[in-house]
Amino acid sequence: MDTGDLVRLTKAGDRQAFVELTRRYQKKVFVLTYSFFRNTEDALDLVQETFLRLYERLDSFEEGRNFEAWLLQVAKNLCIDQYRRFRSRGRSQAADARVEDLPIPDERAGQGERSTEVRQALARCLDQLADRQRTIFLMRHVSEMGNDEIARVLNISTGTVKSLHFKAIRNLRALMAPYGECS
Amino acid sequence: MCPQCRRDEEELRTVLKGAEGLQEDIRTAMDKVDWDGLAERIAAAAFAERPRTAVAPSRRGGFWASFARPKWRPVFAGVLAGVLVGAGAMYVLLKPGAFRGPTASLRPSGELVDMVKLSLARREAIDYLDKSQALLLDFVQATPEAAARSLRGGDSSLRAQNLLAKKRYINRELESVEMAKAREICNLVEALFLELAQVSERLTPEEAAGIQRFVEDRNLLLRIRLVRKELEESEV
Repeated sequence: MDTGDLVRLTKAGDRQAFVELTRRYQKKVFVLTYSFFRNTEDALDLVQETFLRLYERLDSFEEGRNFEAWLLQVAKNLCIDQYRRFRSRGRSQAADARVEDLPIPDERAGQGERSTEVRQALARCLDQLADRQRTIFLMRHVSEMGNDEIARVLNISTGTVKSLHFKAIRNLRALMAPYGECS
Repeated sequence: MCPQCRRDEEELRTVLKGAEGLQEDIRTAMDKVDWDGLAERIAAAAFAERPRTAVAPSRRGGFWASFARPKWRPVFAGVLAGVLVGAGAMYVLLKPGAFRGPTASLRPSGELVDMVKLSLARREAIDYLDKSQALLLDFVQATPEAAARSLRGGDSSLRAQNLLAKKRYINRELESVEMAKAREICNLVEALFLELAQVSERLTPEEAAGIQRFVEDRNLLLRIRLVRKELEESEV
């Protein structure tokens, strides 16, 4: 059964169709939400919130539209809202720390530790990017989405996606430069 | 590879390595999630909050129901805005007293016409006096010989004739009571220019000196200046 049929059935009140719809797309949404929060619990909350929001607004979904892009748009908006709430609440205080303040990586550390340090450094640097740059970077490199798909989800042109991606990379390189020098 | 390129590559590799690390994290996290259970829980929560009932498409009123779809909202908003703006415009145009008719509001009053005429007359008189003053100054400030020569040579004579023509043109405009002073001085200057035009071809230095004395004795230049100033201040 294709996605269009599942959407129609869900609109008509078919619970099982909604379960199937959720099963089909929940992992894709999870990748996006996890890349934002890097925390399983928060990511799963956001997945649930995304599908509940989807269910509420299903009537406004018009046949023929790209369902996946629409769903990821809902997820992305929720992620950005939640992300801002977290930041304003001070929950991610560590995210405000400058890269220079991070512990210098130990050259004698093993490969696993080194990888964790790089990951943490990237996470902190991502927090310092503008919303759209961060979202595009995560969609490209973590969710492994293509430029066209990202453009559809963010409702911007592919050229803008490429431009913002370039800026995100450039800024991340600059932010992570102090860390890279130690390697 | 140059040192800068190597540094760039290293930085880029660090960024991408971090992204790969995040992917590994995600894969690890995903392995621990009970996806079937999650989908069921989400569905349970959704249907518990608002059970969705099947809506049978109604044949009656189907045409009108199609206009209730969200895609028509901008159209309705546009129509509503148009109606409101139109209603506002009609109210302004048709409210009592708002539409007096073009003749009532656009016909200039006699007083306004008089003011315009007077203003034009002042402007013409000032222009005439300016040019007259310039010609008289050239004539008075020159030696009698040079003054006679300039009239015989044609330049001053031509200027005088032009001013005589202009005076004829503005005579009617000087008739009003407000222009009495201006009319008096303009007539005096006109008489002088008439004399100059008539004698210019045979004017001797002695006659030129006599005319210069006439101008000075009558304080013609000073009177021209005073009248001109009054005209400018609209006090004539």
